[in-house]
Amino acid sequence: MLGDQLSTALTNLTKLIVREKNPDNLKLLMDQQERLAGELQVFIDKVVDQTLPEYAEAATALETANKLAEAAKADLDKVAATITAMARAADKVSALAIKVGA
Amino acid sequence: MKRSALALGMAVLWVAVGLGCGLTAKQKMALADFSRSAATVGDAASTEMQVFRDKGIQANTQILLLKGEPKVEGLPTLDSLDRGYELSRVQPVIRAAQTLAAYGKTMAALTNDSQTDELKKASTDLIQSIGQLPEAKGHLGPEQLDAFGTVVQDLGSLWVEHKRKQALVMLVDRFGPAVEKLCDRLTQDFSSGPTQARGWVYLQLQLTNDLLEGSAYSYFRSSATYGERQVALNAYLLTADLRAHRDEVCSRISAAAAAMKKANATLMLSIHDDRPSSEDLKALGERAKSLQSAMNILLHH
Repeated sequence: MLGDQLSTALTNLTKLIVREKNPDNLKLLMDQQERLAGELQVFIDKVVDQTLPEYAEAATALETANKLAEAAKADLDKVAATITAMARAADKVSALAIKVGA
Repeated sequence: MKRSALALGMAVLWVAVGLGCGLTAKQKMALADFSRSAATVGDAASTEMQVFRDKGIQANTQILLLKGEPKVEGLPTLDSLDRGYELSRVQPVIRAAQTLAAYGKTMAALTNDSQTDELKKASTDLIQSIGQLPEAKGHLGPEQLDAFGTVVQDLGSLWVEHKRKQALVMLVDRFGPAVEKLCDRLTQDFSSGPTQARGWVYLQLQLTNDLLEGSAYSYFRSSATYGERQVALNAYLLTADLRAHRDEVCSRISAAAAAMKKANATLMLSIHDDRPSSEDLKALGERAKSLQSAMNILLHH
């Protein structure tokens, strides 16, 4: 929830900047905004460091899954190819029988 | 009469075996939902991460132009225009999302029947070739050859369905938990609140947007010329674009990933539920009828 608190504070500060017309106050608010943004960036960096390995892990697992799924699909397509090979074998037997008969 | 009973018995047995071999209508539906969802979430997340990086760099450049280098460490500088959107943090998300989309598409291709036409053609070729064999000539009529073709095609089809289901059960069991983890990650990281904490993707876009908005207003207030005001206004227009994109896209990706988690959970359960629906029984009844006719022809020959 720290992220939510920092981000709400940053948005509120930005709203104040938008309304502020006094140049001195505006400069103060801008400095504060920069400090708060720096804190939020540190928070985001920490979260990112924790989450990125999980993305890498998921990608590696799903790449394996894809390879296995593609291999399974190719395996299914082989059934028709086997029947076609049987048809070719029968053709060869017929051709041979004709030759022997001749 | 005895042969007809035998043909019926064999057809029923065949179909009963087929009932356990293939996917039920409910399983096919769960697979279709999952595949569609995975492809959509994966494509959207990978595309948008790239868009966020592009817009982030554009916004950081504007912030530097309007404000100069920051006093605080960690914010964008001339040496780090892609601060917050570095390839090292965007690329792993894009890679995972693209792999998820590819997985969804491969699962759809594996589930969808693309073998029936090929099997039909192969069995037609086979009966034509067998019809040319000297042993078959004069002994098997066109009706018997057709019946033989039907049986070959059906046997092939049962085998394909059995192998298809075996592969899908293995994939869902083995990779379902990894998919679930990725869904949780995407749901959290793109979250815009308020039901759960805002995710880092959303927070990063907000940080950039707030800095740019503050810089644009501050610069506009101190502008003295038309040209200076135009620079500030262009930056302000970029914040509006960035904000709209952040609010619209982050919440949609987060919600879609949460929905995908549900589709994945349903699939993990239903892949082991082999109870046939009335739709399955009807389809198998029709298949048994066609098989019985083919068997009758072969057995009466």
